[in-house]
Amino acid sequence: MIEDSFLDGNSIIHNMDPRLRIIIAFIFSFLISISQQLPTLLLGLTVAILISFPVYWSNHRIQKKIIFVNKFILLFWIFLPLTMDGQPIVLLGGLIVSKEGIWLAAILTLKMNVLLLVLTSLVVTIPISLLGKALQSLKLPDKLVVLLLFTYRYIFILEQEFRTLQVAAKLRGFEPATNLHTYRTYAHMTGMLLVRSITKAKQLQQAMVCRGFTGRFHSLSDMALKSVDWMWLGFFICCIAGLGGVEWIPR
Amino acid sequence: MDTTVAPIFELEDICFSYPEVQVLEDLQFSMNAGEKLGLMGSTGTGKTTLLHIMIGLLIPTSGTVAAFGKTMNSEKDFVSVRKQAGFLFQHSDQQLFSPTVLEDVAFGPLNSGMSSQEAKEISWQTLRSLKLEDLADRVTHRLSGGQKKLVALATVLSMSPKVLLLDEPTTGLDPVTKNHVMEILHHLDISYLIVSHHLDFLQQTSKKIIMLEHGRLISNQ
Amino acid sequence: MHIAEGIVSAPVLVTGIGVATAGTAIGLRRLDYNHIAEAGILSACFFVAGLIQIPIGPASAHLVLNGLLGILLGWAAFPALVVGLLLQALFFQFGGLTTLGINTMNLAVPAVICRYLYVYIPVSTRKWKAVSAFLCGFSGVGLASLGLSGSLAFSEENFAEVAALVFLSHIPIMFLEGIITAFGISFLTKVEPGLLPAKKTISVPALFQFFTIFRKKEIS
Repeated sequence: MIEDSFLDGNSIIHNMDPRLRIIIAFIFSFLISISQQLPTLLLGLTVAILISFPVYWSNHRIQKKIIFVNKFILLFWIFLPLTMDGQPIVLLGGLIVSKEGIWLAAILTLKMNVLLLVLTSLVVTIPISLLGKALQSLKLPDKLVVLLLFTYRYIFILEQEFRTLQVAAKLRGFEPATNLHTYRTYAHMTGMLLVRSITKAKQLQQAMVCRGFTGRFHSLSDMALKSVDWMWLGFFICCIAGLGGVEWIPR
Repeated sequence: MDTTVAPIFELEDICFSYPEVQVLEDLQFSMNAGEKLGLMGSTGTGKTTLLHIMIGLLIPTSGTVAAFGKTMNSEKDFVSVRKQAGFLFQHSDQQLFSPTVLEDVAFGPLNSGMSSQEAKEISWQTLRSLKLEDLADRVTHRLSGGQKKLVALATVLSMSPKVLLLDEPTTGLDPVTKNHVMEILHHLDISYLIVSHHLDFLQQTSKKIIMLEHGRLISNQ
Repeated sequence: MHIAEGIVSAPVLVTGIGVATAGTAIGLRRLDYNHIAEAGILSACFFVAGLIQIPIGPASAHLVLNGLLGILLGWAAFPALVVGLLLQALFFQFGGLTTLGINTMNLAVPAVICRYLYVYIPVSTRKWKAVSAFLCGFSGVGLASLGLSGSLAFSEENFAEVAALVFLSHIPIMFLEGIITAFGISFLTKVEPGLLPAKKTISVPALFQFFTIFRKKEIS
C-alpha cells in the first residue's frame, strides 16, 4: 500500500509561501547539482540541514525518506571506487580501489543528501491541493495542473484496485513466475484497470462539466506573500548568492 | 481419508480488530463437510473480515484457524487451502480481469498447471453446467452486473473447489439472476458458506443460519 | 528508471528541461479537456506500474510502460509523464525537481516514437499486430535505457562503465515490456478498441502532418 507520502505538519517551513518554496528549491537544487567545489556543497549542506530541522520536529517521517535514499547511494560506494581509474589505494584480490573513485562517491553522497533535504523539506511539505494552487499561480498551464490533480487522485484508487485483483488472482491459485502466463495475467490486470478507470473517469468528467467545470479549479483563497515570506526570500537570496560566490569567485 | 472427517474450517477464539474498532471477539466457528451454512449480520459486523480470516487474507489478532484438519501457521499453509476453497467476492469487478469470459474461467485451471486445451475443456464444461455457454466469447468488461456475478461464480467453480465462500452473492442482482444463482447453489454437491444480510435468500439456500453479532456467532436453526 | 538528482551535468539537465518543456507544450496543445481524465489515469497507471514487482528469472523488475503510454496518448505522453515523475519524486524521492526534465525526456521521447511506430507499421494479421506491439514495448524501454545511459556517460566520462552496465541490465526488462505491451494491446483490441489510435499508412499527406505537430490538434 502506498501511503500519502507528503510530509504534513506545522512548522515555519510549512507556513512559508508554497510558490516561494518551489522556486527556491528549484534554484537551490540546480546550483547544488552543477556545483563542483567541496566548500559550496558544505555550505549547501549547512543550509539544507538548517531548513530541515523545523520539518523534522514537526514530522519525523522525513528521517525515513533520508535513510531510504541513502541505501541507494551505498551502491555508488561499491561501483565507483572499483570502476574508476586512478591512484590505487587498496588492492582487493585483483580489484583496484581508486582514490578518485572514493572521492567522487563522497562528493556524490554529499550532493545527493543536500538535494534530498532541500526537496523533502521545501517541496514534499506542500500538500497536494496547495501544490496545485501554487503551480497555477506560478502560471503553469491549467491543463497540466488539472492533470496533476487527476493523476494524484487516481494513484490511490488504481493501486487499491490492483492489489485487490492481485489478491483475487492469488485466491485462484496464481503464483507469479517467469512465464508467459504470468506476463499475460499482469497485462490483463493492467488493461482491465485502465479500461475500467477510463470509463469511470469519463463519468466523473461529465459530472464535473454538469457542475460548470471549464478546466480550471477556482481557488477559494488567494495567495499573497506575507512579511515573513519576504524575510525568507531575503534569507534564500543570501544563501544562493553565497553558493554562487563560493563556487565561481576565484580564490 | 481423514480430511473428510475433520471439519473443513475450525476457528477458535478468534479476535480481530482494525485500528479503531474491535470487530471479532473470541469467535468460535466450525464448518463440516457437506454443510450448507448461511451467515447473517448487519453491515460492519465483520462478516467479510471473518471470510478473509478463513482464507488467510487477514491474520487474526489472536486465536487459531484450522482448515481441512490442519492448523494454519503461516501464509504457506493457506496456499493449499485457497486451492480447495472457492471465494466469491462481493464485487465481481474485483475478480474478473481477462478479456473474454472463457479466458477468465480458464485462468484458475491454468494456474493449477493444466494445459490450455484441458483448461479450455474444463471451462466449457463449467459454463455449460451453469447454462452460461452463450457468454463464453463475450468481453467480460461489457457484461451486465448480474452476468458478471454468474461468470465470477463460474471462474471459482472451474477450479472444482471443495468448499465455496460467497460474500454477499446477491447484492444488486435482479430477481432473474438471483434465481439463477439460487438454482446453481441448489445443484451443487459441495459445502458452502454464504454471507448475506437477506434472510429470505439464506433460508432458501442454507440448511443452517448463524448470526454474527457483537463479534460473536449466534446459531439459530 | 530514474536519474537521481546530483549525478548528471548541467548541459544534460538543461537539454532535458528544454526537450521536456517543448514536448509538454505540444502534448498539452493536443490534449483537449475531454481527454485530461484519460491522460491522468494513464499517468496514474504508469505510477502504479512502477510499484509492481514482476518476476523475471531469479530477480524481479518494475514495469515502465512508457511504450504503451505513448501508443495510447501520443504527444500527450509528455505531460502525463511529467506529472507521473513529479509525483514519484515527491512520494519516494525517485528523481527530483532538477532531473524532472531529463527523466521526462528519456521516457517521453521513446513514448512518442512508439506512437508513430505503432500507427505507421502496416500490419493486419493478429500475429503481426502482436509483433509490432512487442516492438513498441521493447523499444520504449530500449530507447529510454539508451537515453539514461547516454545522460550518465555525457555527464562524466568516468560513468561510462556504469552507463554500459545500466543499459545491459535493462535488456531483460526490454523483453518483459515488449511481452506485456503485446498482451496489453491485444487486451485493448478485444475489450475497448476505441482507446487505441487508428492505424495509418505512410503517405505524403501523413508526412506533411508529421511536420505540423505544432498545430493544435486533439488526440484521438
